[in-house]
Amino acid sequence: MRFEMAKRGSMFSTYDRSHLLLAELEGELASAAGTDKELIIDFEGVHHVGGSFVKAFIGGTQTNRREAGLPAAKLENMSPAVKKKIEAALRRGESARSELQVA
Amino acid sequence: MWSNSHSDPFSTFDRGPGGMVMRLSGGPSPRIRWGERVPLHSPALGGLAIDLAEVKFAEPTLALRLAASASVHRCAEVPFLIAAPRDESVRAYLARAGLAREMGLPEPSPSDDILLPATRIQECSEVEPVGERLQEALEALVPASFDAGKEALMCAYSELCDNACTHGESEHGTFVLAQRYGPQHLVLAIGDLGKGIPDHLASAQPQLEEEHSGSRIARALEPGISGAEGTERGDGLPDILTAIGEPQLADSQLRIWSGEGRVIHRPTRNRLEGRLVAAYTPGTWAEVVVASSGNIRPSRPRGI
Repeated sequence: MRFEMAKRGSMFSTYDRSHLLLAELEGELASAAGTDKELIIDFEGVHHVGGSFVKAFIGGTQTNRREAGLPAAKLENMSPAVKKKIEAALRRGESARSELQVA
Repeated sequence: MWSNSHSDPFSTFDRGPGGMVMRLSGGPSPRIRWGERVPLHSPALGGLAIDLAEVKFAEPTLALRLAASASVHRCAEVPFLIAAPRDESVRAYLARAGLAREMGLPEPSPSDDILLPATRIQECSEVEPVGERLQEALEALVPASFDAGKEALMCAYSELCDNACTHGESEHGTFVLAQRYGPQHLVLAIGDLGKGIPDHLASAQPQLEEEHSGSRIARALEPGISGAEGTERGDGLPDILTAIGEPQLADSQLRIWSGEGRVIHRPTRNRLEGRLVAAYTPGTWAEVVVASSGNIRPSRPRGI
């Protein structure tokens, strides 16, 4: 399944937003259950992400998938600035530290 | 907090016929330029007038604190007005920054120095839409050669807004203003009227209670130090220091006021000053300057 961030906005900042988006993603994954085990989070068109958002949303997603025995989500089409921010935030975070896959 | 008349070398505060009147002097003191004395709580019975006639220096944080004061008084249905500065450039600047109505002036035309006029973010869900407006203004008005500066400004916006709406928890929301002074000199001011960093940090980390407010704010700039629960918090303010610490942003700085404390951080001087200040600041107020070396323009007059 491909989760397109740009359909939800071009910047993602807050801890609150990460939890809302995580719930939305989990809902979509539940709807698609059994049809596709791969998850791609597509950052095409995203200009900015905040550290708190990254740790809670990306980190939370990877943790959920690890606990469910699913492969880690792939992150695609990140701008250099977004990629740098995600890598830095996840490097510091406990969750999904070893599971970042960057396409 | 205030309830009685006071005066100091920088401001006087007296009861007038239509309510309380505060007069700011025209000096370059930080208490004037950054509005450290602007009342942000406890709307005065009978209204408040702030007389800026003598003011000749205005930083974005002064404009934002005035806008916040106006909002707080408006919410309480208490009259509020600003007597405009005599200095034409400061008056025009404050009008462009979003204070024209409070000064009784006509709304100015959009300008290319104000990236985001004083804006109140009432709910967390408004942070991203307002941030997208700021991003669009940066793309339109700041050259691509200053991408590092734009990214640092957006990082500061993102982390400070997240802190304000996650930890600040103020009924008044978050106030934000952004502007540019040239192609490589950007300023962001953000404030809230919530709990404030020193109290918030001490409530989660009691061992810091014995440290003064300025010191506690400085602690909040260390990685992993947070007033929030969870091991994955506490990197927002350090992220801002990293962003403005890029070598090409040599004249950047971060100022934070909260409670009785103030911190000024200048990355290139590797210097962090956390000190006590005379004026109590409700909530948390920050001003982030993002500038490349040699691009800080003279600070007087502001608004050109």
